[in-house]
Amino acid sequence: MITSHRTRTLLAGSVLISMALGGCAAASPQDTESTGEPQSQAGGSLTYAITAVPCLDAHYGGNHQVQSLARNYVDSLLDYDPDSHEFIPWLASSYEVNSDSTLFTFTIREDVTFSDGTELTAEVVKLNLDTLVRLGQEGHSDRGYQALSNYVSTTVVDEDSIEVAFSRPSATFLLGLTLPATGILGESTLAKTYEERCSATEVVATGPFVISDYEPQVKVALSKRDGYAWASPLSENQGEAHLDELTFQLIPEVSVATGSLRSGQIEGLQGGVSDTAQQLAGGGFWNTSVQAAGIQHVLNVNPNAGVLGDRAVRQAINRALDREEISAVPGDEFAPPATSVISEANPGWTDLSELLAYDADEAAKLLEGAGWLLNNDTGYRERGGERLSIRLGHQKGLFAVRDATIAVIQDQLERVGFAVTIEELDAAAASEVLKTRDFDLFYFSTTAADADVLRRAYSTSGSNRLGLAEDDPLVAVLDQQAVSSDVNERDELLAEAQRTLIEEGYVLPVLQIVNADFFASTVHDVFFQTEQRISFQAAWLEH
Amino acid sequence: MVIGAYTVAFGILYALPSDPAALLAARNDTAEEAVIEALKQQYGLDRPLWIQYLDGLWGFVTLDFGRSWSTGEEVTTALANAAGSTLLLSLFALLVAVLTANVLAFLATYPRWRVVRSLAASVPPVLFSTPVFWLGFIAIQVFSFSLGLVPAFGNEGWRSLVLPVVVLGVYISAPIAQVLIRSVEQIEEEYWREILVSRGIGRFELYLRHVLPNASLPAITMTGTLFAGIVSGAVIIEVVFSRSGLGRLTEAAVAAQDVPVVLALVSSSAALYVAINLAVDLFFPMIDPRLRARRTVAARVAVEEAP
Repeated sequence: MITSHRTRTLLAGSVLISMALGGCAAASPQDTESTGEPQSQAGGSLTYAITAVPCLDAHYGGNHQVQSLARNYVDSLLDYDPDSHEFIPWLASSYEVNSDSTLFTFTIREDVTFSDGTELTAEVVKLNLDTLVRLGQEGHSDRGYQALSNYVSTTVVDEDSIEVAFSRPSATFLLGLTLPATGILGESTLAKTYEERCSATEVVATGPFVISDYEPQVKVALSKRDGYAWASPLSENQGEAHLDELTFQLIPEVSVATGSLRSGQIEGLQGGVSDTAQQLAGGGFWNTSVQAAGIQHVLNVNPNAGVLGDRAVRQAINRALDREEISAVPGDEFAPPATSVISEANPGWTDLSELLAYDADEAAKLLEGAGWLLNNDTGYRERGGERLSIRLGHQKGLFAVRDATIAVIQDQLERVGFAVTIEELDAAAASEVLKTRDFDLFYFSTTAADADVLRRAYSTSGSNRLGLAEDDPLVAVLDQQAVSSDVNERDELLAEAQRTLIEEGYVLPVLQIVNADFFASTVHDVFFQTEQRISFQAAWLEH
Repeated sequence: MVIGAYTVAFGILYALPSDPAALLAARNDTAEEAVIEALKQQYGLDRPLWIQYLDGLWGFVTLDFGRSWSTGEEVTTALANAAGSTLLLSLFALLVAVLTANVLAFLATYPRWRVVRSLAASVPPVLFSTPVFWLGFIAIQVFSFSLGLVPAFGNEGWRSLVLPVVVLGVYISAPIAQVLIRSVEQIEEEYWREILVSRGIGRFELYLRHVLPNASLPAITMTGTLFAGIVSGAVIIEVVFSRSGLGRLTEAAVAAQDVPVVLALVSSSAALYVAINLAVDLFFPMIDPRLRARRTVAARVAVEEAP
């Protein structure tokens, strides 16, 4: 069943914050009739439901739950302001970059202490970067390690400053430094093995909260760090956290989390779906709807697979997709049609919506031009007795991909004469299929703050998901942007890469990835930092 | 049997075409060959398969399963922690199940009103064909979300245990009750019952002292083999009620392709299954004097035949 109503409009006092990549967008229930900003209140404990947390360590990797948790106990050297597109010093008090982006100098704030009382020094920051690279080489860190590609070394210049050297220009380092995945941990935590760090509760960091209790599969409890005075300049609260206690409750069933929120047993939940919205409608709850950075919900098109070798056929698929209709599928209401391969939240994004317009007639024309003629008996197109068949693969349960979404895509392609077989794969099979490129279309998505994710996914220097040739001009563009030291030049390269991916019909954007969190009306001023990692540093509860 | 279970699990996990190390790396979003090689080395995946097999088997014998690939925890510790929570849930659930089954069996065979009997007799089949997660969700909806009597999630305090125990207990009571009802009905037709009735024994006393103990033998065998059902029920119940335990551990380990944890879980479930069946067999003579007697007779025969 396809309906076009948007559930979010049912929500009393729902707040939409689009593309809040960085920290300045604090989200609260509506302040429509209220006069001025409500006064923040100190104290109280807030319980926020997430599905699972495999590891407590900030440097662990791209897992959204782990990183969201980590954002609340770890601080970063820099923060990113999505409005001004500037990097804001955080634990660093200032930074400098040389002309070819190979040498970065940071001055470290002097008044910062770790939760075990030790001081933040240039030495500890160096230790963090060195350990991250080692963890990455051993396979236990991805985000942090990626930010440090071509890392050579860190030199401690004096007590409060360091120099970080790279062997090639690094266009991705500064944004990478704003992630929890590169957050600064204390010496005693860094001294532990990866395994110990994953399950250890005595995590030492500088953040606004400190982990106080961890029950595997049940909850992670954090308490306020007394004397915290080094919040990101982008936060509305420059002092200690308002909340005394913050609990990440692990609730795997979203319907249970929803009911718990409605019955007042928790105050917020991560990643709600449309059922959540319907259940909470009219109950004084509000939701954030934040577009996630990274490769959006897209179809990877394998240009080396049979009929898809023809660009006209790939473009026909692009034109046959009615993204508005897909977006209206119940459960997808929070995700508007994609505007490019990557997200508005990625620096370097370019709006390519005009290439993504639905035009079934154009699709039919393209296919006829390529010799695929409609067989009126079967409803499918054929050429020389061969049927226009393609496989549509997706990984079960990943990125909240719903069967309904896949079915609608299948239906849209069949309407213009494709015969589409859906292949639902488990994680192991999906990884194998992607590696061997044994797919025609594959529903794909991956979150990342930096647009370099395009290179990592599609270039020959990355995973080469499409099987591009070494000498493909697109590969050169993808590789060049990663070492471009000029922001404008890099943005142009990224724009060219996005355009080529779509025009060639290699990657067809479908929907935006949107994170919808739901909160009780008593919760105010939660905000999202780079990669949509939630921060409760400024959050407060109305008692 | 335990070694067999281990071997099959090992075969499935390691002999499948996909490479466990590549899966690990995929989780970390990295595809670099050097990283995959490093992971293989750390987890000993670069060694010949038979060495890995024997190593794992030795680990099982020494109760050292290594560390989880996903959470970094000692597998033995994680297993022990989770087992405690699941054991508590299962034992209480079993208690509830036995009680419920007895009440149902009593209601289905004892009352003189036919309507009551057939109504009670129809409960087990209905329960048996109801998915346990559905029962769980309904129970949460009513008792937690609407009435607010108990929390909907977590492990804190006895109040969080009530709903999972009752739901799981009622659910697994169905097959026990069914067997119990059947055997009570069979006994109704046995000759010794007539003898007792002719001696003037009360109806209730007859049921409690003679019919029920005789009827409970097959039900107890059943309860032993039900263990597998209890554990798989507990898996679902733990997910529904967000409780820690073997169920959640299994769910997480399978989702994360956490090979050491899955191997340990499979082998120890097999071991537990064997242990429970043994316990049930040993438990039999305690309630059935005939089994005790037979053994003594057999022993005496053996002694007499000895030269």
